[in-house]
Amino acid sequence: MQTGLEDQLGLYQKRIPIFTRSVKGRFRRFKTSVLVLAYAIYFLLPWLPWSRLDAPAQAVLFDLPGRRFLIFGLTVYPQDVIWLALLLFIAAILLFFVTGLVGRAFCGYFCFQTLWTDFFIWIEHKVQGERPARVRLYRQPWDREKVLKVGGTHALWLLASLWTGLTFIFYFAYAPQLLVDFFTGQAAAAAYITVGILTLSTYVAAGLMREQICTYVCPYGRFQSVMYEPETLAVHYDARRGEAAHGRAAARAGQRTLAERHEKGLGDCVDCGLCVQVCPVGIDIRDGLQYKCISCGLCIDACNTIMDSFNFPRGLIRYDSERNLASPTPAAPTLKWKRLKTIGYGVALVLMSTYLVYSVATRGNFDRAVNQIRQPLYVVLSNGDIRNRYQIRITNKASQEQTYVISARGIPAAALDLGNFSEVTIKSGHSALVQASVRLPPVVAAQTQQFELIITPLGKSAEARTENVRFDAPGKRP
Amino acid sequence: MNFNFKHEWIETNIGLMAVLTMLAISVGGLVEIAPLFFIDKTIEKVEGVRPYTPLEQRGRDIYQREGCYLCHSQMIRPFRDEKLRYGHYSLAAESQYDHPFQWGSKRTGPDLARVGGKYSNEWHVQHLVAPRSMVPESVMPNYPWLQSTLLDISDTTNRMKALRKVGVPYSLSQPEYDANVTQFGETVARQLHIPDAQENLVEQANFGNYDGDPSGISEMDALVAYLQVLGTMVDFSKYTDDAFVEFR
Amino acid sequence: MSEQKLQSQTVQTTGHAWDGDLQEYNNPLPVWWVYTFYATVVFALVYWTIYPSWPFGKGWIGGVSNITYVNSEGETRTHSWNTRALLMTDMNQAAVAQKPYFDKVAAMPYEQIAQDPDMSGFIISAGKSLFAENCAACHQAGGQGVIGFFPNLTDDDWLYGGSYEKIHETLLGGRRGYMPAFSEVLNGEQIDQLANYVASLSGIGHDADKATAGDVLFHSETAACFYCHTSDATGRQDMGAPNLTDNIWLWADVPAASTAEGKVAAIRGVISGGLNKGVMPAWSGRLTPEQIKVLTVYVHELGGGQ
Repeated sequence: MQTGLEDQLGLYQKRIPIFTRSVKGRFRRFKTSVLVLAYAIYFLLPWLPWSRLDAPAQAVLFDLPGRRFLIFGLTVYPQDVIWLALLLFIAAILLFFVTGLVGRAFCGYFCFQTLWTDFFIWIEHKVQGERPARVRLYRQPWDREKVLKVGGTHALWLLASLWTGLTFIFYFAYAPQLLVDFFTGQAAAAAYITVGILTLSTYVAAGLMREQICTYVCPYGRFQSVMYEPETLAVHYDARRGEAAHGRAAARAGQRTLAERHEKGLGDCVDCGLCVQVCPVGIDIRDGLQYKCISCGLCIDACNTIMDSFNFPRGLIRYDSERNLASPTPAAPTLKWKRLKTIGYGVALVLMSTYLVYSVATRGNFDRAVNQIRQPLYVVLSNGDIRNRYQIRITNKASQEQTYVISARGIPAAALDLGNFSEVTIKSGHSALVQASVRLPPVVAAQTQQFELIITPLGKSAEARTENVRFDAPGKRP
Repeated sequence: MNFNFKHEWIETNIGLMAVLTMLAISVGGLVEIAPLFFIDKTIEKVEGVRPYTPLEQRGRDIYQREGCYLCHSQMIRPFRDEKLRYGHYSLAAESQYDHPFQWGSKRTGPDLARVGGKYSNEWHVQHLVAPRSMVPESVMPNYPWLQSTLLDISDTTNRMKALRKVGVPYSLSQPEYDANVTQFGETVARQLHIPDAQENLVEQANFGNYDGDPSGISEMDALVAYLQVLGTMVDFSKYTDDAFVEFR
Repeated sequence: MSEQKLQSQTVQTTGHAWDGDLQEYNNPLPVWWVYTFYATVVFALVYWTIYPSWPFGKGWIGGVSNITYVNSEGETRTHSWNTRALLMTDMNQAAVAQKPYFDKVAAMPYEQIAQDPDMSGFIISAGKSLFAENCAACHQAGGQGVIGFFPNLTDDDWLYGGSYEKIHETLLGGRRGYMPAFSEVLNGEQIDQLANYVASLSGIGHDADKATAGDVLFHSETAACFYCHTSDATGRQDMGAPNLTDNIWLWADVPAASTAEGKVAAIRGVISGGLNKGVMPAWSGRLTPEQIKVLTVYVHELGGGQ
């Protein structure tokens, strides 16, 4: 008995192929423009030249061996990881902010899974034709036509996947050189492995799995519900208008005009099914808001086309809020943002973005870290003087060699001993360690709680940075 | 493939089953352990390894009594990190007179196979009495009684006789002594002569004064004497760095 | 019930029954299990061929895999795979990577190493790990030592000299400090006088009369302190006799005593009991000449180098 049930249900549901019908409209145009823009940036950016002194002429280059990330005029070092963290925070908050306002806009228009699936469907459409042709081809036995068309589609998908993978690695080395190296077998093993994995995953995710990624793999689809509010705008079917008293019905003779339909108690939905045919995740939006819906708006476009052809008012399927739809007197859908959550996210976004911009704009040309030697914290010398020692690490983030001068304020000038390096010259992107020691007579030491170490790039006194450091002596407790 | 074999024969005959089980599980030992006794290259041919002197042997007894082996191994493996940290990897030859060996596999503390000569006697004494006064981050217990307890030397000869039974070449008779002279040289052979054991022990302890207290022979004397000889018997400067590669 | 019947018809039993009706099915092993077992057998055969495996006569079968390395004599050798040969290649590789630095260390004079920013960075990192592994047990992680046992390497007072050459000499050959126990030749009063004199040298509270008597004793043939500590008590680095006139204490834990009496008592303890514990092991056999040179510079740069 149990065996029988398992046979029926299977361990997982077999994928029902989805053949989406193409559609025209506002949302389709928006999706297409996002796609073109995103692809243009992703695929062309590695080829943008940018003249540099000490690195290949590539505008965006993640130089892993050199431990630096060259982004146009900006050089980011691993120690600037805070910027990346901030950027990720901003992205997350932006996602929450937008989802609270207009639902899964990211899923529907910007997510790379959506973009690549959209592109792959476009290829499929171009090779195999419109939905009816594709359904026919699917049902047809494996003859010459089917082998050619289906094979051609998959070949194009693989090609697109390969170029996607290749483009990814182009960001990590000088693209023109790497392209040649890659196809002449000269590139690093990591390059081939990365391209292999990305080609395969792109092909599988955008070509074969498609909506199953959103439904089964992506966690965001599952926790979106906690970010929705009654005021959130989402793609909704106006069931009150569509179903009326006696439900939807085809536009047969005698029920073609609104007046005739309203008289019979029929809803405005003519049950053409186009909204289902265009849906990339294969759902019926008329069943209500569901977790599979990625909010791409294609059903809105499809329905509006039909409404126009019948001269019915548009908006049977539209962006609207749950609250507005449920209210006895629905108003025109509006973006309601005056809510604590939205404003909170908005403020956080503005603050974090401002800080990020400020931090990047005012970045120094060098990094410094001063560590007091902790073991021992101080040394008593033979004449009773107290000595503290410090390790100063300077990292030159500028694009050229630089000499740094270290001085002290708050202690007698002679007390600072920089050992063998009174000034230190550091190559671009490198760091150096300077050991400094400070020697004070006991009386002065007892009064000196802390002093300042000043690191000045030679010839650029405006860029000098000051570090407060402690001075420890016996009997002094913090 | 029917030999007319039935589980039932084995499963209903416990004696047969015991014998067959034994046979099955002894294959591993027969293949992996037994040949070591017949293979030429099990023990490296190396100069300098000798049985412990009476004092060192008593120190080793204390090492075992206090359970040092529970946290310290005496087995430097042939890995780069171990070589850099502890020194030359341990040779089988170096523990040939160890009964039982102290190789171990649990390192809560560092490996001690070559601790001999690395630190001074004073360091060992202070460290054993109060480890954290020397190594602040140590988790080793204090062993202050080693310093205050006098070493019981009355059963030294008996202990050596026992070790002689399991193959350590301590000598009892003149021919055995002569054989030791040939193998280890006279100085060492004298230390290995059981009848003189107590005398030798007292002499070494008084001369070495390992615990820094000349008044009596404490357990600390014996243990430090043992620790200071660990891993020092072979002079590796006499061999090329790959001299022992062929022995594996 | 019907399922059970079905199975009993198709699956053999082992053919025997316990307690009258207790039977055992003779189900075949799962296919994946059987093939995994065969795979392990094949794996073992491959493994035997590649690596040392079976004992054979007085030796064993070495396997087809070989390791080639260069030994300390510069000879290239090939040996069947084993961990000791593998260690040789590991050490070879590491030596190749570190060679430029160690070669530079070997070739450069001390002062030049210390002044080269690149080498200085290497000394700080390589020296730190060498020091932690070999020296820190006594001299502590930062080289500050332990009063009463091991000297502080970060101050400017040296028992045996703080120049590069002297530090190098100490590291190579070790040191052995010794001071006789004066309780054997002097009486308690005399020792007390000496202790007060030594205390007076460093400006510690003392009994002036006793100190004066101690001064005389110090320079007399009876105590003969001046033989080692020199007549102005500044010590002799060639024998490790410390300078008694500065503020640095090693053997007598003067800083720990809170009262002047306590400080004098600590000094008295050392004079009376003597010292036979200033042992620094020799490192020449344990560390390579380059490692010792790295440590020399590292210790010198700990702050006290002269």
